[in-house]
Amino acid sequence: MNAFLGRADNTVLDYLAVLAFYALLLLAIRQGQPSVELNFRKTYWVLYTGWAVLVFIGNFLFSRIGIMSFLPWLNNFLHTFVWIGFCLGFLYAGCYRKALWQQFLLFMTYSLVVKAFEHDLLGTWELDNFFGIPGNRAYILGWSVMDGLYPLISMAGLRFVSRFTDGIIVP
Amino acid sequence: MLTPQERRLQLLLRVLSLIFGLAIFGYLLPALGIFGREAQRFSVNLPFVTNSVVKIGTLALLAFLASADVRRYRVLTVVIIAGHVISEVAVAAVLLWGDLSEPVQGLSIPITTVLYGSMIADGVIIILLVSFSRSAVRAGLNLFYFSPMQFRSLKALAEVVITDPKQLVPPDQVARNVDRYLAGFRGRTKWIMKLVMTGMQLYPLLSLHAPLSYMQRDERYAFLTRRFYQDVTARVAPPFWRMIVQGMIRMAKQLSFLGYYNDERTFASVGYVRFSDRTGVSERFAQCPPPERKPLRVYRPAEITTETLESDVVVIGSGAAASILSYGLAKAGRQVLMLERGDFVDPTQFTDNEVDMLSRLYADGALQLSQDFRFQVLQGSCVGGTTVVNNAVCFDLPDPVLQRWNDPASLNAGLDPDKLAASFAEVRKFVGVERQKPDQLNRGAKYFLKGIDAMQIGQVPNDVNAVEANIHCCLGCGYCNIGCRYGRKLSMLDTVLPNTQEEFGTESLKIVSDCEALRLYGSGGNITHVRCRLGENRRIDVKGKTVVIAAGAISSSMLLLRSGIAVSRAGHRLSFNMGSPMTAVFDEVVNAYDGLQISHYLRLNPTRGYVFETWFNPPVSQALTMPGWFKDHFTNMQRYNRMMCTGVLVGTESNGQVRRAGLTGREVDFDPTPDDLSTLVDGLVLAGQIYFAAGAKAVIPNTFKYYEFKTPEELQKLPDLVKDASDITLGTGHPQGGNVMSQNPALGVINNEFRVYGYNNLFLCDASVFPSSIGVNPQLTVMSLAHYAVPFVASNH
Repeated sequence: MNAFLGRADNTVLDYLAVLAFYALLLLAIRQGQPSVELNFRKTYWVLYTGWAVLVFIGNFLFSRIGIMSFLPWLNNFLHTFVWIGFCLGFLYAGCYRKALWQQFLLFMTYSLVVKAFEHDLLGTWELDNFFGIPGNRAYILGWSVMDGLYPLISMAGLRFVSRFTDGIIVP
Repeated sequence: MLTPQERRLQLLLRVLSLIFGLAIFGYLLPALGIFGREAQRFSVNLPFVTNSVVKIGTLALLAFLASADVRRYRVLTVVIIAGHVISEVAVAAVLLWGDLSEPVQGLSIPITTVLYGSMIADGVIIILLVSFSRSAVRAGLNLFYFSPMQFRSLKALAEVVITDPKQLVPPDQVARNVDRYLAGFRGRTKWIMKLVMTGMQLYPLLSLHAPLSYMQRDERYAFLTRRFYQDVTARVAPPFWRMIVQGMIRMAKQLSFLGYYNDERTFASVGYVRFSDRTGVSERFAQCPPPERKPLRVYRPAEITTETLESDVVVIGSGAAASILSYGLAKAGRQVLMLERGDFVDPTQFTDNEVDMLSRLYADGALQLSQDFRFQVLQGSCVGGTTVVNNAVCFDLPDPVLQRWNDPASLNAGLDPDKLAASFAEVRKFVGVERQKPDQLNRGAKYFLKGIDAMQIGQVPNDVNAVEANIHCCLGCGYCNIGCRYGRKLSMLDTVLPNTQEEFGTESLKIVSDCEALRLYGSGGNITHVRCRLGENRRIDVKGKTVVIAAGAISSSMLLLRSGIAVSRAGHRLSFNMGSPMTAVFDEVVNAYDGLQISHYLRLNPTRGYVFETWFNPPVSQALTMPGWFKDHFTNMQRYNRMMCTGVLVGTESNGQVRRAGLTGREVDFDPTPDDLSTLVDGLVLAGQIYFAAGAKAVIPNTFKYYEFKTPEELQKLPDLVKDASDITLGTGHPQGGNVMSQNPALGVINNEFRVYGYNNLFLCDASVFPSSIGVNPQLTVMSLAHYAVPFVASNH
């Protein structure tokens, strides 16, 4: 197991494939809204920074306490700074006006797809339980459900940040 | 007398001739053993020496001949360049696929070094010759816009597109006129004309013909008619290719006509007399003395010395909506800064030169086309906007349209009908809308009325009448579309803008011309500033507490899209008043150019989905829409003064879109629905029948394939002949929608207070907010909506 790339047979090409997959999903996300609305851009960057940094650290810490598997550094970086920060931020910019249950489903589904892909290709997201519920599927599905809470957590976070700075859209 | 650039080319050719001449000895002498046995062994290999001597000798002779008269023997320079290009390709092929592993007998250096050296030498010669030759030809031809090749292509086209046996304007002059026209304005898309001309020149190579300008005239004519006309109409080519070809030929044709029919030498041949030369003009002036013109203070780029401008309200655009809004805002005590992309052309500088005015007053010099090149979108681009170049025709917003807009179950615009009606009434008074009087009307209109009488379709509930327009005391010059130099059309440039400055002071309304809003910037829901291009390339930021976009359906949508505002809705639901003319030919002289360009209308009740408007133009504009190609077009232009037109106007479905895409980053994507097209064709048939009833000898629709109908029975075939939009030429000056008003934020870009969803200080008010096409000329509706919007904008602080 390589701390940077993960499984021994993982190569940079595999990670390029992951990026390509993100790009493909972003294309799908862009069908809803082709770019981030001008009035949401500041909010977008706040979300990007907040989510990418916190989840990057969180993934590592959670693996240390045993509730997550260790994500190789490159996987962790791409997953947080590209997928969660960039792509999910984009998704949120396009759907934050929708009903919360719709947002939940969207985020959960996209997260599930990405985790499953990374699991198959890179061999990551490999743990046999989710808070005691046995099975790797439960683990991947469980964290995807948690990701479905992105809109709810974002809303609370933005409400907090908006106390200190102007131009933040609080859904 | 040669130009300096031509002399430079001449010198280069002489030097090359000398070098090539010396090179003959470079091949021969080693072969003769002068440089020893080894060199002889290499050089004596036949056919190497003989071939090389022949090649280099020929090049030396060609260069020598070309240098003798660089103008006359220009083609020889091209041949020398072509020879070197072939040599490059051949050497590259040898380097790529040849077996160069074996040492060459008698050669001390590797053969690859020799080949690379040869490629470099050939490359240098090609670059020098192309660059010197290009600048020499350009200087020799005195071109301002086209490259020599593009110029030759246009000249060759003009020679066959305009089949004038007398050559009143020689093809060379036609191309030269176009070159000056295109150089005369800044346009976003005019470079496409270069592409078209290059495409036309090189297209024959695909079928192993010589480039267009190198063909004999008859051969060129046959080629063009076959490839660009018959293949397209017979649908031999696939749809995409057909679209490209149609687009190319339409643009090429238009350019040729611009260059030809704007030349006064052609006026007598088409029976056109300029207004100033017409009989009875002084009487017309005596009856209607010229109005007093008020000054308008407009800041030009050179007068703006700071990098930032500030105002209470920034209004982007200066047309119908922008001007009415600015008046209302100034009246409410707001300081307004108006940004106009186009130039400020003082009305006293208007002329009767159509091409000159097209280039100065229209967006892209009136060459703006839809994404598939089939649809011409005309928009004014000058201080005063489209009101300077439109026909000033005013219609109230039809009641059924307002009901549809306000339908809560669909568009849900949420407009207050009573307040809107009050705005219409106010604006009518304010801009001087009046029914046009018979003595100003178009001479051709009597045929239209005669036909309607004969068909008995002029009675109530149908509505036939002279148009209402904000025109007072019209002289009937027929120049509405190129700016009324006589001040009779009460455009924003002539009335509302100067009146505002007079009434509230120039500080209350500052106008900056040649200032294009590129992008809006903001923080959260507030627009902080507008980034603008001032003049050629200066950037300035304009700040305002409130920003109003009123730049017209296309430009407003583009600005929103560029700024990332309403990203999934802006530019959508675009519609048009799609129009196509039916041209009627009479035995007697009609002189329809002498009078109001649009003088009468007919609306059927119950509606069949269209409005008729009588319509005619000065020669260039008429030539641009005249049916027929090649000989047919020329023959028709010879009947120009015996013709009359009626435009059939159909309010289309909202299936168009403005997008950031394509070669220009700005696409108008529109394809009429089958229903809209069928409505249009139905209208064209009825228009033709009206003219037949008035005694027309023939009627001609503006179809891609030329049809001239001689009887009403023949005309009935028209619906079968127009299979889709590619079969007919369409046009519009009335793009609408794109940023529609709706109380449903998922559908609309603005709410019923004209505020853009999600932004506190951004408003939008022009034809782009129309939730659907209104089917009649939109000017009055645009102005009235602006009047209606004033309190909402003014109350924003």
